[in-house]
Amino acid sequence: MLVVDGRFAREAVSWSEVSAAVPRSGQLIAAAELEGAGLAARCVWPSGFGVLLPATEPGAWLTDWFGHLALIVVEFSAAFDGRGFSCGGALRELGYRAELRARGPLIPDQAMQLRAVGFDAVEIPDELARRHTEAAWTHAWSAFPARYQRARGGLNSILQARHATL
Amino acid sequence: MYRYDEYDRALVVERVAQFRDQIERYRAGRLTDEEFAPLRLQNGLYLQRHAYMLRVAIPYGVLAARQLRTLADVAERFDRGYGHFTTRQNIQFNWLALDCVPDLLETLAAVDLHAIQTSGNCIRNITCDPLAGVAADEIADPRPLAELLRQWSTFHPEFAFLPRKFKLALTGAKVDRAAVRFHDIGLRLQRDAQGTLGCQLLVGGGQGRTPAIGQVLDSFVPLTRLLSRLEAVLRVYNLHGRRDNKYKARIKILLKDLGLDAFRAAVDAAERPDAPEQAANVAAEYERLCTLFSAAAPVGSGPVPLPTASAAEAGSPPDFRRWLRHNVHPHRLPDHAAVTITLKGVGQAPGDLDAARMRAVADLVERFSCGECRVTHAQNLVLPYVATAQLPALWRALTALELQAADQGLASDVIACPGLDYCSLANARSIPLAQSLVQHFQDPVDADDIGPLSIRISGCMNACGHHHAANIGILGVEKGGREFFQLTVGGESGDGAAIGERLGPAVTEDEAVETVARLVQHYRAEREPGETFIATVRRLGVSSFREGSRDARC
Repeated sequence: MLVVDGRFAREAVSWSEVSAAVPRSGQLIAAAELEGAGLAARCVWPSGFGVLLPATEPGAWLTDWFGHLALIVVEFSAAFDGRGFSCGGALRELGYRAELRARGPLIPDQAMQLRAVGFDAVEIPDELARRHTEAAWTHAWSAFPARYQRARGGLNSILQARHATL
Repeated sequence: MYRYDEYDRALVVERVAQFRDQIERYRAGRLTDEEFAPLRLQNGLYLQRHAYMLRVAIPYGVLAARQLRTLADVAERFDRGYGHFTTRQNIQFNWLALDCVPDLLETLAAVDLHAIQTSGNCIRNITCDPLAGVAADEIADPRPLAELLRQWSTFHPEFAFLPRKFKLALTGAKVDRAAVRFHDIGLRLQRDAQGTLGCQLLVGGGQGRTPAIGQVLDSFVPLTRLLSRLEAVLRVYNLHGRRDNKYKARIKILLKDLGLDAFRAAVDAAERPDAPEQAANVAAEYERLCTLFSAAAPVGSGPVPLPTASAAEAGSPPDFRRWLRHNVHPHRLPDHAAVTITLKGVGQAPGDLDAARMRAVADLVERFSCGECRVTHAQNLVLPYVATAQLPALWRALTALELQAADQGLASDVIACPGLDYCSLANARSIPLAQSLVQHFQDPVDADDIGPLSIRISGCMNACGHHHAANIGILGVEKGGREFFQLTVGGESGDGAAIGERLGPAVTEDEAVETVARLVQHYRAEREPGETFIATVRRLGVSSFREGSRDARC
C-alpha cells in the first residue's frame, strides 16, 4: 500500500521494477545496477526513471544521477532499523529534489520522522495496512507540525518561528 | 532556570496525546507487542519485574520546586508514595498501571516535565555538572548549551531509531563532575586563544558490558559548528553502527572497529555546515537561552558580603561542621554556597525519596535556593543558590527531615541501581548490599578518616550503577541461580577517568561487605599522609589491594 501525505493512494505513475536494461521513464532499477552503469551511461540514458536504494550511506556516485531520477525508493529492512532516516536525510541534504519514498514495514508512529527527514511517501506491506488504518496514518502524518530541527517537508522550525518574531 | 514557551509546551502536550493513542491502539490489537515496545520505551516506560516503570526526564538535572511537588503528587496518586532518583539525573516510578500512564504524563506536562527519550535507542537525557552555573571553577555556564542540545535532540527525526541508546554529557567547569569520558559523547566547554566559546568533543566512552573511556575526536569545535558536527557523528553511527548484536551496537564498538582516525574521516565526510539562516537561528536561540539562565540567578549581596561558611562554623555543633565540610561547595558568588542533600539514609534505597519529603525539600528549595535544585548522577540533590548566612537554618531544617547526612563523596554515599528488587535485567539485588554498606560506614570519625571513596553497585552488566567508574565497584552476577558479587578496584569517573580492575572471584553478599571493609583497612594501613583511597590505589597498584584483601581473609 502506498501512503502519500498520510492518505492511502494509487500510483500516479505505474512503477515497474526492471533489470539490466536501459531504464525508461516509470521504471525502477536497483542501485547496484545504476552504479555499475557508470558515468558514461549518464549521457545516453533518458531521465524520468527511479532507483531502489538500500538504507545505507548514499554513495557520491548517486548525486551525479539526481538530474535523471524521478524517484528514489529507500528500502527499510525493519521498522526500527533507523538507517533509512539518515539515508533519506542525506539525500535531501545532497540536493535530491524529486520524489523520495520509504519502503518497508514502517508504522504510522514513524510518520513524523519520515516526513521530517524529507520522505514524500511510504510503501507498506498490505498486511500492515490492514492493522494500521488510513485514519491512523492521516492522523500521524499531520501530528507534530513544528520541530526544533531544521524545517523540511512542509514542517515549521520552532527556532525559526521564535526568532522571526524577535 | 529554563521556562517553557508555547512551542515547548505544545510539543510535550502533543506527545502525551500521541502516547494515549498508542496505548489505545495497543489495547485494540492494532499495535503488536513488537511494535509497541520501542514506542513505549521512547517514552520512558519499561515493563519491569512487578509492574510498569516510568523514567521521567530531569533535563540536565535541573529541577524546580514546583516540579518536585508535582513529582510528589505523582508518587502518591499513581505509585506507592515514593520515587527513585537515578544515576542519569532522572527519576523513576516503579509501580505503575499502563492505563494510568497518559494521565500521569498529563500531570507532568502541566509543570513542563515529560518522559521523552528517557529510554529506547535514541538520544537520551543529557548529563550535566550538578554545579552548572554556580561552580567556582567554571569556564562557562553549560546550561544554555545543555538546553540547546535538549531541544536539538528532542524528536530529532534522523536519530529516533539508532543501533542502540546514545548518551551525552556536558560540563563547563575545569573539574569534570559530569563523567564526560564515560558517555557516548562528552563535551567540555572551552575558550580558544581568541576567546571564542566551543567544546572539546570526546567520543566512544561508556560503561555496560564493554567499558571504554572516551577519546578526543576534536580538541575544539566552536559552538557555531557544534550541532552540525554532532549530526555528523550521529549519522556515521546510525548508518555504520552494528545492528546484529545489541551488545556490540554502541558507538564505542564502531569507534574501536574503525579506529579513531578512520572514524574522524567518516565524520568529516558526513558533516554538512548549516545554511546561513539555520546558523543564525541557532545563534539567536543560544543568545536567548544565555539571557534566560543568567536572568534567573541571584546577583549576590554586592559590596558587603554575607558571612562566609567558615564564619557560620564558629561555635557551631560538630555535626554541622562536618556537614559544612562535606556537603557544602564553593560558589561563584562568595556569599553563596551550593549544598548537597545525600539520599543515602540508613535503611533506605540509594536515591529514593518519599512524597512527604519531596514536598518538604521543595519548600526548602523555595526558601533557600531561589526555587531551583539539581539532581546529581550520584543520586543526590543539590541546592545551588544558598546564601552562606542561611546555612545554619538550612541545616536545622534538613535535620528535622533526617536529610542532614554529612557524607557527600564519602564511603556511605553509595550509588546503586534498583537491582533485582525491581529490574527485569538484573542478576542480583543491589539495594540490600547498598544498605549494608551504608550501615557499615556510619561512624563519622571513621568516615572522615577514610575520606573520599566512591562505592557503586550495579545489579548486572548494563552497569546502571556505574560500577566500572567506582573506586570500589560491585557487579551483581548470577551463578547456578544464586546471587554473587564481582568486585573491582581503581575506577574513577572524573578527570582521572579509569575503569576498575577485577579483584578476584565473585563473592556472596556478606563476603562483599567484608571484602570492602578489608580493602578500606588495607588503604588505611598503607596510605601516606593525606593520601586518598584512589591515590593509594594508583601508587601501589590494584595488585596490592588484591593481596591486601586476601591476606586479611586468612
